[in-house]
Amino acid sequence: MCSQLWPRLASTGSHLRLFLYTPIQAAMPSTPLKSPATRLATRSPKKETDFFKSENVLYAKLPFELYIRIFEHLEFWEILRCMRVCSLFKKLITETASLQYIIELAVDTLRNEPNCILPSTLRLEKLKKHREAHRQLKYNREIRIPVEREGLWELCGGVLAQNIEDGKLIFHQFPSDLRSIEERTWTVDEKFGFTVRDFAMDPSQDLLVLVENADWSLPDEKLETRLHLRSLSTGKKHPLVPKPGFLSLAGTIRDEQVSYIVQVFGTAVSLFIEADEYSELAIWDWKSGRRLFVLASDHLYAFTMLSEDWVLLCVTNDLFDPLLATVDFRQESPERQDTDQIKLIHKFHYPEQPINLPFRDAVIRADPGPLPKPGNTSGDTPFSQDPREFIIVVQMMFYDDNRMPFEDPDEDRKEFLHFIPAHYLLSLSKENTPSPASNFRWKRWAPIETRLLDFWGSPSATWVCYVYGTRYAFLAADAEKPGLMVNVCDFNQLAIGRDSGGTTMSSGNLVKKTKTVTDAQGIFRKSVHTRLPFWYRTLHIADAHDHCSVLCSEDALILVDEECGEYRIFVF
Amino acid sequence: MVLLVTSDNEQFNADKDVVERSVLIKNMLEDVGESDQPIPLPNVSSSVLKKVLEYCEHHRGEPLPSADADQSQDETRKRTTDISEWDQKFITVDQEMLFEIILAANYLDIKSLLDVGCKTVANMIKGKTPEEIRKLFNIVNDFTPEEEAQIKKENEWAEDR
Repeated sequence: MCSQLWPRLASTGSHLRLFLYTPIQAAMPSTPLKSPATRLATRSPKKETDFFKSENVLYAKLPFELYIRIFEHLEFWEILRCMRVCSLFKKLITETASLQYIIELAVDTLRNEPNCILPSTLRLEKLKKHREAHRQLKYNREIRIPVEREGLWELCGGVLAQNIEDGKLIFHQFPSDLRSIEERTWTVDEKFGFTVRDFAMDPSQDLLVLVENADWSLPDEKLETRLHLRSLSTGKKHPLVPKPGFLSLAGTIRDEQVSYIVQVFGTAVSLFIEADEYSELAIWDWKSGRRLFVLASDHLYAFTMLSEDWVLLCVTNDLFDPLLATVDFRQESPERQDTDQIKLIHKFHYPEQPINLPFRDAVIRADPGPLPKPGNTSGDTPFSQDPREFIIVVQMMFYDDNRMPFEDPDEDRKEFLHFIPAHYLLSLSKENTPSPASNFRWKRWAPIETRLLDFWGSPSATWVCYVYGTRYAFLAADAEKPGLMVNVCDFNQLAIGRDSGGTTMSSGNLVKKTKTVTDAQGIFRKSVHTRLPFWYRTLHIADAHDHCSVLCSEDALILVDEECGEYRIFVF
Repeated sequence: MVLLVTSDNEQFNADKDVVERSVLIKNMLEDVGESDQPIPLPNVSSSVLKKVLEYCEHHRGEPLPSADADQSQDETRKRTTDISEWDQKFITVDQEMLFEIILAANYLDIKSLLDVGCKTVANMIKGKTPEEIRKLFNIVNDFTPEEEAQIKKENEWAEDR
């Protein structure tokens, strides 16, 4: 039997690799195994020759190690499909750590860090600890960082940045005990030569984007907004940026009260300028300095990047009803356009709203985590958030037109939160390019694949980093307990799907699968149904003050206590 | 020059820096030292060795992965199925030859060629049903219909990607 399947073993020389089927602890042998051939006979599965048709044994000659090598190039769902081929494949996949690691990473929407030198078995162990800690909100320790009073702050890729004074920024890399990331603090004290109005960053690319305060004294034709691209570690010009080291948008809105949002998604940098009745969105390829897209409109309210090519917008139609739209911005002209000039726009509509409750504003938040880039992590970090799987939180605000003049509009503000998987929006958008069927009525896109909630906390307008990956964090008070309840909702569909498929891992979390039926306090004419499942869990922080806000990062939950002037970081 | 002898007793003359892309041959040459002795490759036929030498010739001079790098690369082998244009053309062979090249690359310990071969087979698996994969590898289904249905059910969460 063996001689047919292992014809090459007869001529075993000292350099011949043995095709050992290695059980889980050995994973993928990283160096050729040079054990005696006798081991092979004892390790070979019993039925090996039965799998292969006798008339053509050629393909059967592939040793198990090579099947594993082939499977390692597959996506997790393809590996799982291979389990159905035969019992040998099933056994190989179930018992090989490197393949199990690929599957388990995907379940937790994580990706492998290629610089890590740990073997698969250890990574798999770390992954399981990581999963349990996050599902049970079992943090390891708490650290505290002072809140700087100057106002500007940013949280991205596990790094908190604060503006101390002009030209001086202080950075804190949060530690992660589960992923072996050290706590680190550094300052950039660089005479920028301009006033920093706002900033953003991407620690994985060592990129710091500074918005220069525009010189409002200039005439319209000379007015411009500049984004300076610097190194996050030194504050000097980023080495990959061409001269002059900044991106410029001419003909900027003349309004000193404008607010800016800057997002970095891999090679794309986007700038959103929001004035009272008018907004502008510009996107560049930052490494070449080339402008890709500019949208300027009084119908534009909010945006988030979905990928390096796609952006999600909140716009209004002619009746000023809000809708979401995706744009393949690299296919668009780099010239300034209005919403009705963009050709390939996919529209995602909301249910009908009463006329007396006009749409007021929208906020879209999402944090996919940094894109993979070789060489940006130490050799100890085994895995990171997979930026392809993240949840988008759309907050839409309406106010009642019947309110008395001069009344604080926030008093009567009605709003809902809408949770949409980015992966889902992208798949709908890509499937339908450039078919004319790009209008998605509410019932066609939203009820099953999204979740609309109208009661779970109104997110802070200042402390906006309440979403990371597939997780959303919000605070609540419990009348019977002191302090605050930190609630985390996780919209990771793969983990929920597998849990309900019969395997373990629910860890006592509450899974919400029943549908939500709501008219969002009258925002919609009729009740709407949504049913995207999610799980949630609560962490009780007994000594938290009730004026706090909560932020969410990769391996940290952060309570911002502005009055006491500290960030309380719960490290996982 | 190094003299190689295949399983069907054909002799091949090749430059040392070409054949040394095979870690097996490189080790052998180091073990025997300066010698004109032909190196027997009883597990490689002449048709396969010809292809393998063509590959080594094209990639001569490129850096070989070091022993240390080998470990981390093995563990983290990127699951991209990108193959360079030349390699793609090179590996466009019938299935029998493809599997023979993979076996030879494994035996001769030529990691980059082994990767190209495995990626090519992985690409062939992509998008195929279990039945089609069985045909590809010429494997008999040894599951009962109940067993197969059970595995399918357990993995339902991952379908439709």
